[in-house]
Amino acid sequence: MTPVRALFAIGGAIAIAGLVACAATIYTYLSEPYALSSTSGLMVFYESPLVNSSDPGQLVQYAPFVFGAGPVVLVAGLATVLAAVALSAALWTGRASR
Amino acid sequence: MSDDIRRTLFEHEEPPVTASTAPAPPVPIAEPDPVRQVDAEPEPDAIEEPPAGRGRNPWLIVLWVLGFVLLAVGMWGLVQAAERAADPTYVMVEGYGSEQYRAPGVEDFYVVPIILASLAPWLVALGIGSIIAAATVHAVHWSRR
Repeated sequence: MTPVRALFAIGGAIAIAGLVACAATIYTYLSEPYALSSTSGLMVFYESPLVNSSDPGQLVQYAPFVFGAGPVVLVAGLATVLAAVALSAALWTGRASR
Repeated sequence: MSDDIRRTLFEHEEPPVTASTAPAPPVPIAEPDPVRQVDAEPEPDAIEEPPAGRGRNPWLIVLWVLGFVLLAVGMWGLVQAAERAADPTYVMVEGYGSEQYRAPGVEDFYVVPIILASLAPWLVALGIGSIIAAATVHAVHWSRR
């Protein structure tokens, strides 16, 4: 495996890990709402149909959403892939590489 | 040989051709023969190998396209995040025209704006970086010519 291909693989793996982290953060947030409370100060919503499609009319409360490190990891993976593309463009000679 | 006999024998004979009266033979015009041209081997001086690296660089095209796509998606995300932050109260219902609205869900109110606001600036930066990288590679290749 050439170094550029290794860079592609590493960047792709980091980007996929970031996507998985983002999806896990969103799913955990939506699937763990707070019960209704008049003293919590949180906004009231219908429970998300993405995680509870059986009872979509149930009222719950959600705290403001906070992203973890998922977007940073995703952007780092994308940046690595773009660096690999730029390196491939700079090193391209018009001949098929083995 | 008498003149009568000579006239009988040679009456259809053409007069003798001399060098001064002879018409110039027609110069044959060479018609281009496509088969012969294809099969003909070019002269060594005419062979011109394309130098390495002068063709289209597919990675450079990918870099340009990725740069503009990331920039466009990032700008769209920034606009969407700003619009949702300005008016998060109601969300237009898709498929019912522009007059129909519904109360926003938690995804509309908290999740999507945070996702857009978190990723869009990075996407814009990556797009600009890709365009700069593509222009730099172009400049380096141009200076090597």
